Amino acid sequence: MNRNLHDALHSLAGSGTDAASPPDVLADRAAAAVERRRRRRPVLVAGLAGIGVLTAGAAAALGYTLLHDDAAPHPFPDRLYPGVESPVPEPAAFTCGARMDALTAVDGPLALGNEMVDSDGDSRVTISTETGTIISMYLRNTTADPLTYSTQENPGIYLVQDGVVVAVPAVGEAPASAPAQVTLTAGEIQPLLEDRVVACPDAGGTTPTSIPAGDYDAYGAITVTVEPATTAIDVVGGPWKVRTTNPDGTVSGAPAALPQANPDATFPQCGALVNPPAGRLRVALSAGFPDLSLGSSMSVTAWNLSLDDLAGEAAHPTLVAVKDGVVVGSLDPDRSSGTVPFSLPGLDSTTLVTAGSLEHTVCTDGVTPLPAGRYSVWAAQDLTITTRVPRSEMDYVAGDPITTPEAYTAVEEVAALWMDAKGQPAAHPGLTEGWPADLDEATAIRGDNTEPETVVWLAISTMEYPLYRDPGLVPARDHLADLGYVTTDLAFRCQDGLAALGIVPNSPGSSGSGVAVVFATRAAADAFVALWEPLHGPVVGVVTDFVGCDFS
Amino acid sequence: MPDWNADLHELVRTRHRALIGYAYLLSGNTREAEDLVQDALVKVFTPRSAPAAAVSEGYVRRAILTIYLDLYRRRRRWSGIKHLVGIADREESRESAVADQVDVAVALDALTPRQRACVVLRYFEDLTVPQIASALGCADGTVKRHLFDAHAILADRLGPLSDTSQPSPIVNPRPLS
Repeated sequence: MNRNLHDALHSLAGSGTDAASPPDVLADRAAAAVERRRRRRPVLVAGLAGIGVLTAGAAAALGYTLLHDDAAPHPFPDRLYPGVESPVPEPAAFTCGARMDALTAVDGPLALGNEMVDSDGDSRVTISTETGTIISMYLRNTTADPLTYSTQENPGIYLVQDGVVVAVPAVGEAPASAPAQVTLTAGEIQPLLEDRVVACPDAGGTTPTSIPAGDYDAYGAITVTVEPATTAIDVVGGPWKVRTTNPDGTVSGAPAALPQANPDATFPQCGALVNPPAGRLRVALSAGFPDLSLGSSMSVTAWNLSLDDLAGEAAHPTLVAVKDGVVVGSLDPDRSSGTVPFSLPGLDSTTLVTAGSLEHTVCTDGVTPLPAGRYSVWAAQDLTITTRVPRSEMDYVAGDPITTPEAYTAVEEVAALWMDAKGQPAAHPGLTEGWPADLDEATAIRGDNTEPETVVWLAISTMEYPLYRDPGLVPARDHLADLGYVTTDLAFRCQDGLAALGIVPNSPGSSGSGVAVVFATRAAADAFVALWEPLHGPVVGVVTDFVGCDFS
Repeated sequence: MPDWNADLHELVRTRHRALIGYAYLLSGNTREAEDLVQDALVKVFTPRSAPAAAVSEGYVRRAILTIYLDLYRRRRRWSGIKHLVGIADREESRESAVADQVDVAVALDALTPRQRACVVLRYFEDLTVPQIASALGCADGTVKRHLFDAHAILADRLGPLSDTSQPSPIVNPRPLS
């Protein structure tokens, strides 16, 4: 019987709780500890001169330390306490409306970094200002010796746009993330939880209910006292390039431009042209019917279409979004580099199932969501065939095993990704409005219809799908799928009227196939042709005859 | 009694089992679970503006997770020398668990802290991948990789898992749309 993780974890959690102290005991202990900390919280002592400032364009992830000076306005004013206190009225760094280009960097014993944008690149991270932790920050001991610091508040996030502070932290709505006193060894980090960030009031004095969607430079700041000093310092991190979305999840600005085709790029690099496989494949890939609106993980099934027995090691599949034959989606940055063993006898139903993850961002920056529309999902899976047993095509007799390692890459289109206007994966949107509905494959091929169906053939091939792949069918198939049609490929064996098109199957039992749409009536087919041809050129032909696949 | 004290007691009184259970799955030890919850309560209610009672549980849970991950980082140094001290690990926490639960507990012990956190957040807290990513402060892809690896480890120790959304193999391909 398969193990149900949900039930197993709940059962295990219950056993652990049964052995725990009663609730009142736990609550009393915690309350006593809170009381002790509240009584002994130290008063920050300011007094050192020499306020450090940040230069515009300072590199990301450097730590800046600013010292309090009671004789001048604090560079980091008290956080906004909604409804309790007013912000510092004097203009100063990091207050609402203050300009950021008046600051210069100062090295200090602590640096404030974050786990999301630690690179020095130009990529921009999309964050949600509605969640409890919008940027996972940490303090790092930059010295060569152990260091002990204390802090009384959470760090805060400040958002800067066009050099002006437009959002500041609001204290008191998140738990204190660090204990009263922390000791860090050289280079060690302490993760932090920051306060929620709120937009600054607009010119009319109205405070927006949410951070407007857009691009910002984010700065983090936290007040600490480093032993043995008694003076508090503000440690600042940033600037970090971030992007916020609208509350409904949409992103601001015009849709991202997709990358242009790059003839120097190789699949699955950004901009690479996809070379669809041709002919009989050795190893085919399929992903079933993943609903990518539910998640990005995908199981990819590989199976052996050749006569030979194949065994070896397979890498996890690489999945990438493609549009009009060009790689436009990013690669999963966390894709596994490991391999799994496989053994696939020839023309056998044995399969290899591995997992991959599909990114939904444009590959030029790895951050911007793909624009709305349909994308082909292509998979590439590297196989190292360590043992191959060749079999004769005539009598299927096995030959001597070949143990010379052989590299083979299976590349195939495995799924479709639909993106909505909010930059999120979406379910299949249905047929495009205004286009006539077709007959689904099951209804068309069932063979017991009383009236003949009408098939519009858009592209044809002497090779029969799915055992064979013809790259010439890909463009028509993509155009059809973009419109929302589900059934796109039809074997010639499924409609006898091919003679009307002048098509002779290449051999009995393997009649070839094409990209086609099946309609219940001639009128619907004619309506389809009238819409299709101005966009994509003339169709191959329109044939009215019963559809029923002959698999003899 | 100050408001924060009343809120703290009310939270623990009404959500004790949920919080201890969550912390227990992360730590694998009842005593450590109680410490996690207590530390989290202290962090949430120590600031002068403690959160409202209606939202405090969410922050306590977030603090439990952060403290757990932080503790592991520190424990890695400690585990290198604990054999010299002869400290017993978690045997005492298994006394109350039945054999089946022990299997699950042992299997969870085979996971890294982040894998374990992802599994607990996914199957005990019922969070989605994006929600887990937000809680851990990492990318969705990182969470998916942790879950995939954790599933493999758990399945190896517990046998096939029935609720990890692994579709069955597809033999015949279908046209794409």
